[in-house]
Order: sequence, then C-alpha cells, then structure tokens
Amino acid sequence: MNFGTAGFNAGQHCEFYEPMKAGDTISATTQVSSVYAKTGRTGTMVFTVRRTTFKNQYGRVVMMVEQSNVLRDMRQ
Amino acid sequence: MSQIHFDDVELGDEIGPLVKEPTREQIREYVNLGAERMGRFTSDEAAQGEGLRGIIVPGNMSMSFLAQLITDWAGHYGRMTKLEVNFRRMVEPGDRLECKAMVTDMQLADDKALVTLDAYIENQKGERPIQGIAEVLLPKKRVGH
Repeated sequence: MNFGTAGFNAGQHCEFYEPMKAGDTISATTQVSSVYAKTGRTGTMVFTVRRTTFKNQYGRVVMMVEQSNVLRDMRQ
Repeated sequence: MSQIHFDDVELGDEIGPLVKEPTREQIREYVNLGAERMGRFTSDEAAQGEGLRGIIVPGNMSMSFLAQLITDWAGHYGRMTKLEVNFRRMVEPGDRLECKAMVTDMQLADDKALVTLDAYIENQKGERPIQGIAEVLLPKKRVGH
C-alpha cells in the first residue's frame, strides 16, 4: 500500500464522559483501529484511524478521541 | 453570563456566528502550545514542499473554534459531551471564519436533557471547510420556579 507523501487530518470524533480536573492523573492509550484505501478523482488515498482512550487515576474513562488521517501523494 | 436551559431551546435554533480570523502569530502560538510541530503550520517553504500554497491552520485549532462556540452557548451548567467533525478543505491564515451551529434534535431521557447540533465553519467564499455534529447536556428549569 502506497502511503503517499503527506498526511492530513481528515476528521476527529471526541466524546467527553467526565470532567478532567486540575490535579488528575490522565493516562492515554492509542490503538490503530483501521487502515483502508479509497480511490477518487485525485487518485488513491489511504485512511488511518486511531482511537485514543483517556483514563483518570480512578481507572474511569473520561474521554475518547478517534482521529482519522488521510495520506496522499501530493506529487500527483 | 446568563445560563441557557433545555426549556429555552427549540428545534432549528441557530447559534453564532462566532467570527475568527486566525493570524500567522496565533497559529505559531497554538502550535508551540501543543504537539503539532509540523512545518506546514509555521513555514511557507515546508508547506509548499507538501504541495500547499502556504502555511495552513491546524485542524484541531479550527475545531477548537467550534468547541468555543458550543461551550460558550452551553454556559457554566451545560456540558458538551460529543464533538465530531470532518475536515473538508484547508483553512489558511487570513481566512474569515464564521462558526455556526443549529439545533437538529432534542431528547429527554433518564433525566438527561440532550441537544444535538449541526456545527460548521463557513469561510469568506461560502465554503464549509469543517462540518460536524455536537451533543450538549443542558440543565432543565425547575418546576415551580
């Protein structure tokens, strides 16, 4: 798969479950949830989706962010 | 600042616009605060090397303009629980951005008053470089008050 020459933010999905407060200890875990290619008028684009889960010091999930990046060959 | 309540809201209500005209200096300050230290945000040369006309505004920075619109509207006792956007076009410094939203759904369930919004940014050309949806929990007015 050709990942191209440049990557751009294609979309972001944030869910906020609980407030984060000053003094909280927040840990984040990121997982690559999908990778797929699409072909359009400007050629082939590769999308990567990363899902990051944020937990506080009590182990409760306070936020989730799913970020989609599009990678394309800008030389085309 | 006055607090908006679920009871004050109707389907189709419009929010905004919040107008932003991001400058190169603001972009530099934003980039320096975060982890997005990519050349395309601070150097025309680096941006042009990636096929762009010049530096662009980070997507997360534009998204934060929408978050400001919505959280300002929700007030101190409201809470944005979801913001989901698609980045459709590049935003460049000097663009005039109007951040807007519209109420598209209202639900009362489990004592929660949830409002769904279509949220978007419109530029000076009438294009919508950023479009998405948001969900906001709002307080309800107390009966008898």
